[in-house]
Amino acid sequence: MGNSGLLITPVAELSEDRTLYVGYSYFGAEQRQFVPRSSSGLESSASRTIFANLTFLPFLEMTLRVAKPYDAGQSLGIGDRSIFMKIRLLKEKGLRPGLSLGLHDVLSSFGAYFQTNYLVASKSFSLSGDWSVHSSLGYGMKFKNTNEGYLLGLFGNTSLRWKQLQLVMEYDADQFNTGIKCSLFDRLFVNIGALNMKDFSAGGSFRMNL
Amino acid sequence: MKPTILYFLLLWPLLLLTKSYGQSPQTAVLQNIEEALVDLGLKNIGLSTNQKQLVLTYENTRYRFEAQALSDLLDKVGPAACTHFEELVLIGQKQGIEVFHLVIELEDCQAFSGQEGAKKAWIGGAEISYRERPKATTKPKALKEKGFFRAELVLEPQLRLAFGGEPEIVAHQLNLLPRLDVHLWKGALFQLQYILPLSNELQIPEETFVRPGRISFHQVAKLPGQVYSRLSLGYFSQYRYGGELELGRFFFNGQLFIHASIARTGYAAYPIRLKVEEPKAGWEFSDISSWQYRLGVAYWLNAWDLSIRLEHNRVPLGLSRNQIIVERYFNETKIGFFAYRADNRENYGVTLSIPIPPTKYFKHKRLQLRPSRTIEYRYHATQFFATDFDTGHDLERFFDKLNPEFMRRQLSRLTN
Repeated sequence: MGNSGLLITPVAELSEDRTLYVGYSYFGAEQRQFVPRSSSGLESSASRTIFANLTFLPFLEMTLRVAKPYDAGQSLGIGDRSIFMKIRLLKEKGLRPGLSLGLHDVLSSFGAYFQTNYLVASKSFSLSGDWSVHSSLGYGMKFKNTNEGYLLGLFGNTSLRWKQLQLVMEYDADQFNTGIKCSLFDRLFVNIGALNMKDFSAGGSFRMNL
Repeated sequence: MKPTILYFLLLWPLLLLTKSYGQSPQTAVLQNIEEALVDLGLKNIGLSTNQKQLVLTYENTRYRFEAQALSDLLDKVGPAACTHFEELVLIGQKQGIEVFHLVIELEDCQAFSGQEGAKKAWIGGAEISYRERPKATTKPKALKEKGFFRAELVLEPQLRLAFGGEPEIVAHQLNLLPRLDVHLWKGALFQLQYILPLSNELQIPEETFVRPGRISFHQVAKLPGQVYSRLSLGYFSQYRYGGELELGRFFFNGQLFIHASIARTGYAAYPIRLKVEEPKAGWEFSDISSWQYRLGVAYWLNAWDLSIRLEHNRVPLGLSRNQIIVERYFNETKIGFFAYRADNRENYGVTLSIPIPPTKYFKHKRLQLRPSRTIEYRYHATQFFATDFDTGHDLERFFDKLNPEFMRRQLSRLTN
C-alpha cells in the first residue's frame, strides 16, 4: 500500500528517520477494494499504486500515493491521489509493544477510496539465531462518511523473519492474505502476495537515505 | 657620488629580495590566509587581529551551500591560524551585510594532527550565531575582492505540472528563467528576469511566448538589535508591480523569526493577450491602488532541522489567507507540506526544493554564469489557488540555510 507494513496491513514500526522509499504495487482484478473506482465503473480492473514513503520525522511517516486501475484510461486522470500519515505514539521497548496511529486519506472528501484511521500495536520476539517473529494487532475506523475505505475493523499480522526474508500472514479486517517479502542489497525490497489466499499481488520499492 | 647614495643603491636590490623575510611571522601568516581566501573564490575578504584573536570576514558567492564554503574555509585557514592565534572569529556576509559569526578556539591544534575524530570534535565546539559580533573582536577594514558592482547570470528551471486534464493526463510546462542579478552596493540587488518557455502543454496562451519576468530592485539593511529590513520596488510575479517593505527580527539565535511586510501594488502585464487571434505586445497596467500585507512567524526546531511557518496575509485578489508550512531540511534538499485556507476554501500539498549541480561555481570577477542553486516544485492538491505575488527577494530567502544550528550540524557532517 506504500506505508510501512506487510502486504495490506500496517505495523507500528517506522523506518529509520530520513528514509525514503519509492515504489510500485500491483493488485489483481479480483481485489476490488484496492481499485479506486469512478462513476465509469472499473470494478473489474487490476490496479497499480505508485508511492513515495518518507520518514519525515523520527516519529512521523508520510506516504504520497497514486492508485489507478489499468483499464481506467483518462477517466481517473493520473489516478487517485492520497496521503497516508503514521504517527508513532510509543516505541517498542522491553516487554512494551510499539504503538502507532495511522491517518489515511483524511484530506480527501469525495473519492476517499483508502480512508481509514487506525491504532496498531506491534511486538517482536527473537528466536534462535537470525530468526524472529513480528506481530501486530490493530483496529481501524472511518471518521468521515466517505464512499470507500479499508482496514475497517480488527486487523492483525505476523511475520517470520530470517535474515533478509519474511514469510507473512495477515488479516486485513476483510480477508486473509499471505506472501513473501525480501530485501536485496539492503536497498531493493520486493514482495509477492496471495490476497484472500489466492489473488496475485506484487510490489517493489527502492530505499534511499536522505 | 656620495658614499651614502652608493651604499643605498647597492643595498636596495638586496632589500627588495629580502622583503618577505623581513616581515613578522604573524604578518606572513595573515598574508597567506588572505591568499587562501582569495584562492577559494570568496568575496569581501577582510582580516584583522589583536594578537591572540584572528578575525576573518568573507562572503561566499562560489559555493552552492554556505556550510560547504565554511567547511572548506576552515580547512584552508585552520592549520595556519592554529599555530599563531588562540581564537578564530569568522564573520559571514551576504550581499555585504554581516549575517552570522563563528567563534572557535584554536588553543589545541590536535584538530589538524590527522587523528581520527579530532577535527570533528574541534568543529563541534564552534559557536555559530546570528547575534552581534563578540565585543572583543576588531572590525576588519580594507576588504579585498569586493563583491559589489558585479553580476550573476542565473539560469533557473521552472516546472509546472497539471494532473488529470485532457488530452494529456499529466500536462507539463517547462520554462527556463534566465535572471541577471546585479549586486550594486551593500544590501542592494537589482534583478531582471526573463521567461523562456521550453515546452508547454498547459492551455494558457499567455504563457506560450518569451516574456519578461520580475524586474525588481531590493535593498536589505541590518538595523540595530537583530532587526532586518527589505524594500522591494518593481514588477513582481502574479502580474503585480509596486513596492513592498518588510521588517523581520530573530529571537533565540535564529530559532524564532517574526516578520511583517506591507505592499502597495497594481496590475501590470507584458505582453497581454486580448480577445484576438494574435498576442498584442505592450505593457498594460492599472494604478497602484491595492494594499497587501503579510504577518509571519517561523520557528526552527534544531533537533530535526525543521521549520514551522505560520502566515497570515492578504493576497492580491483581496483574499485573507492563513497558511502553515512545515519543511524539513535533509542537508541541502528541502521537503515540506503546506496547507492554507482563504475565503472558506482550502488547499494543501507538498513542497520540494532539490539542489542543482554543481556544488561549486566558477571563480569570477565581474560576471558569473551559474544555474540556480535549487529547483523548486509545489504540488497543490486542489484547484483553489490563493497565490501571493513574489518580489524575488525576501528575508526568509535571504537567510535560507544560514540558521546557526543547522550550519553547525552541517559543518560537523562535512568534516572528515
